[in-house]
Amino acid sequence: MDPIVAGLVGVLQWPAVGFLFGGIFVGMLLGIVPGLSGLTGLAILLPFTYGMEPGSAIALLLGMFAVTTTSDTITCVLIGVPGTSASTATVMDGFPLAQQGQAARALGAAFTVSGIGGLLGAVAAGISLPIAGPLISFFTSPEIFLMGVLGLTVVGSLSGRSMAMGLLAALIGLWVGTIGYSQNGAVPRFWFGVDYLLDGVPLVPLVLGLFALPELLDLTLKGTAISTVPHQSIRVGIMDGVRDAFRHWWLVLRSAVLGVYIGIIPGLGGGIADWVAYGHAVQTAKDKSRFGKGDIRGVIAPETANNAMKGGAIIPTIAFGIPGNAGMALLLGALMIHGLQPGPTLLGERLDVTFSMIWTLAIANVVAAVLLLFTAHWAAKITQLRGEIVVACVTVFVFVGAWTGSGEMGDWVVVLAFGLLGYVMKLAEIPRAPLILGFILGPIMENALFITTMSYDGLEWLLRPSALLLEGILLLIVAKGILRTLRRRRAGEPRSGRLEEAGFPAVGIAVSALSAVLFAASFGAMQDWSLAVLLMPAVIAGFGVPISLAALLGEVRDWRAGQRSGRVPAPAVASGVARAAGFFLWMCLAPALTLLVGQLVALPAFVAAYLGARRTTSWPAVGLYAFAVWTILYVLFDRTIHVAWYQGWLL
Amino acid sequence: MFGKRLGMSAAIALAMLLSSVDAEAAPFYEGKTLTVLINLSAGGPTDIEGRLVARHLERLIPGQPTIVVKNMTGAGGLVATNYLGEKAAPDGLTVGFFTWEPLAQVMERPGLRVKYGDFVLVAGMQSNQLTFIRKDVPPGISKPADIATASEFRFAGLDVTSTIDLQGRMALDLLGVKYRYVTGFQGLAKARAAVVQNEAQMGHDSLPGYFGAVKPALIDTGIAIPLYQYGVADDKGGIKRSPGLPDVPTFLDLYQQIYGKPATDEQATLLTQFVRFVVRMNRTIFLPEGTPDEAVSAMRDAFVRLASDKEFLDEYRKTIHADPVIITVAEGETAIEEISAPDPKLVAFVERYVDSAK
Repeated sequence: MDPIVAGLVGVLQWPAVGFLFGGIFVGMLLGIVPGLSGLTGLAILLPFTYGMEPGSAIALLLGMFAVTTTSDTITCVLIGVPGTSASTATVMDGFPLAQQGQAARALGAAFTVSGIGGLLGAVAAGISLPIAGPLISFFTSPEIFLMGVLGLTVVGSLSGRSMAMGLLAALIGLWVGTIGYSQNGAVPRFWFGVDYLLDGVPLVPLVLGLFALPELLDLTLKGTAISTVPHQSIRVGIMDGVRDAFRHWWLVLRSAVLGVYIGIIPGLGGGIADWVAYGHAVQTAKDKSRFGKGDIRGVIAPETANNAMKGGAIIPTIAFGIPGNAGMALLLGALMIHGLQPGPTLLGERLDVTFSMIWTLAIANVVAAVLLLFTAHWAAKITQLRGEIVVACVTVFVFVGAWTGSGEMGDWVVVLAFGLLGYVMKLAEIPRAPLILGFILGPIMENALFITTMSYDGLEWLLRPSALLLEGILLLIVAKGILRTLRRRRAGEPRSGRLEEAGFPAVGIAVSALSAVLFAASFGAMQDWSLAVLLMPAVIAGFGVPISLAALLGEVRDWRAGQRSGRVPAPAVASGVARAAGFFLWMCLAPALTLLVGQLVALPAFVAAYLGARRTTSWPAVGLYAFAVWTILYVLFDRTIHVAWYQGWLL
Repeated sequence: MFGKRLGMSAAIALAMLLSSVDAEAAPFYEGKTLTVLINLSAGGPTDIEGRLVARHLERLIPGQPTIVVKNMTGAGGLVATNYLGEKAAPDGLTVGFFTWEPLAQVMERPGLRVKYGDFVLVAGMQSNQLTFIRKDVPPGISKPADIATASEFRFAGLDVTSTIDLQGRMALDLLGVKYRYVTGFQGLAKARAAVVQNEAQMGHDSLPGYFGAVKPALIDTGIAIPLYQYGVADDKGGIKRSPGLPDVPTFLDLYQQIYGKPATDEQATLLTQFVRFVVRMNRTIFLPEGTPDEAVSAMRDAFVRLASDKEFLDEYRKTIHADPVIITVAEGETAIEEISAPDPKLVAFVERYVDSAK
């Protein structure tokens, strides 16, 4: 039988098909809950598959893994919290769309392109298998480092109101990424004597703090539902989103290709496919003005890429036994235990198994997209709920999601600290996206840079043809950014049209000044470090000082311009800060209660207290709500995922 | 005769009594979650072996704990080692499955902030390592001895102080070949990727990674050939080929092939000593100091049972193509003692290597 057909039969026969649907269901659930991802799923499901037939094992694992990046859009769009770290970029435009009452449209578009992207990824995987070798060989350490620089520069210069501020945010992200034991040499850096920081700052609490808390605060301050548009006047629905997806077919295709190739390159990791596609969408768009404020293309590009990426990621795993990311590494382990060896075995005598994997990816992506399209209408109703109902529940998920970082109170301190930073950055209109991207790319870039310096003499690596190509693109982007800034300045317009809203030029001045001090002080800590340890921090600080100063200069100029034009901070902002402080105090209640009685009691109690204090919900409803929260915590997190909870003092 | 029988009956009765006492108390691990911490990357040989062991431990530890496997990478495995010593709670719920770095301790490298002797040893496992090299290194390599005439190639390492790096550089120097040393890859799976990408040409693997990925994807496809193995310790103070790799020469065999005479100089002696030191216990299973005795004995017993568990042995052979060699606690503790007082000559030799790479 033809291996393509045999592969399909392998997936569709019983019991494999049952496991496939089971996997899809689990994957959708894992994607929805922030903090849980396909990686969590693989780690949990892997032990169950050892005893299965290879076909069933693959159907379960890959079916689950394929769809987490489809359902993770739900929280991105509805509540501004990324469901997995692979969809952080979707928040940028997905959440503003929800605020404009267009959640159903955003979800419709996202699910459609996730399905299409996943399908294209699977097809690309099938086609690319024979040419995987040369593709993989193009991207070695120097190119990976330069790709990182390129990615940060693109996102840094495109998001936010000034290029310097965007780049500064990226550098802060890179700097935070160097906290803890160094990758090479194992020397702890910038840990300030805090044991928790030895391991570095974990990603999930950082993302949740930086993105979710400021949105929750906003919701609390506004006192409305997420959607500011009344239900009756919403005219766009799921089908509009589906139509958007097909109208932007060219963008979908390009994003899918980007996703597949990011998946293929070993070492880049899946967490950046969404950002690269987002950056690409912004850069190639003629009208960029709507990005960040609810442009459907800002949802379509990352959602296509993060599903397509997974098709790409299985290629090097199958062909060469080199897993492109942690999830694929686990899958490789599973294959080996079933005696399925990468290379000729999977490309030759067991090609049917390889096609089973590709079919699994394709079917799972389509099934999940269709199922989710049917639920989108109901899910979108969350945006019409009263703000505090959403805030209570989302806070619980933010804290529990963060707890999966390392299961320590430190995770919650990270959430609160980065929540505060996110709020400050929002006040000063500093983009948060480059910070996250810098944080994710930092360790990858550091390792690539170190290996590069060992591989080549001096700076000769910068002269490799592939490196020259990337450097050329980099120069173009920087030049374009500088030209744009100069043109604006010559035209005499202040960079922010929303100075009154921003309110605090002083915050921007403070952030950039403090950053300059931070980067300069970093040099002091480097004295006893070996080259392997100090290389990346030195590069970061070396760029950090001048860029902070450039940002500072820009902020001061803006502030002066604001004073001259009489646009001074509105007094309303001061009361906003006071209310924000109140919100953060409320947020500290959950950890405080947990210290006493542990999460299983503390978090439902927090929900009850939070809703009760607002007196808008009847007490029986509050009780029911708290009980529902407890049930989810117990059934999903305690009994299924075996989260190690905090042992409260009173227990 | 009668006395002996009485003694035996008494012993049996005592044993029964003890076992019934044991049976009444709930096993330490019942209803608990045990985290197995692996200090190298997912998909690498330590990971493959560690996950295989973890999966069977779940069945063999009394109380059948839920086992969660976690990879914590960095600095050739030292990050996780430091974590287990400095941060992990000694509650028996975190156990390290490490490829250890005895040299980091011998050399007192700042990267290793704990001492192996401070952990509670549960068991050790032996593992042989070998190297492979791409065939397209100019002017082309069709058999291991061609390495002598190869032009400069890159050797992929993990960290300056890691055993992989040190034994690799020492052996290549002994063989007198031209190579460039590139280190910093986060685990052998990443180093393997570099060889596939031709970013480096020579890589290392231990048997699980070799038979699981390198042999099918690189050797059988004609991209690379196995170069030499480090071998296992023999009874005469030397090394010999591992039973799982009868056709791959040891670095000493290769020397003989190239130069037509056995390697006898001090470099060869010290390297042999070094390799014996390393190969006798490559994987170490540790609990943090202060772990409750109940947990320690439950874990140690599980490894004793593992060594003769048919299900485990079958799967191990299927995946790794060799028999597992599990090191007892007594033997392992001797090895740990030895690294606390190493031969000064060997220390100086290794020190010279580490320093020259900085």
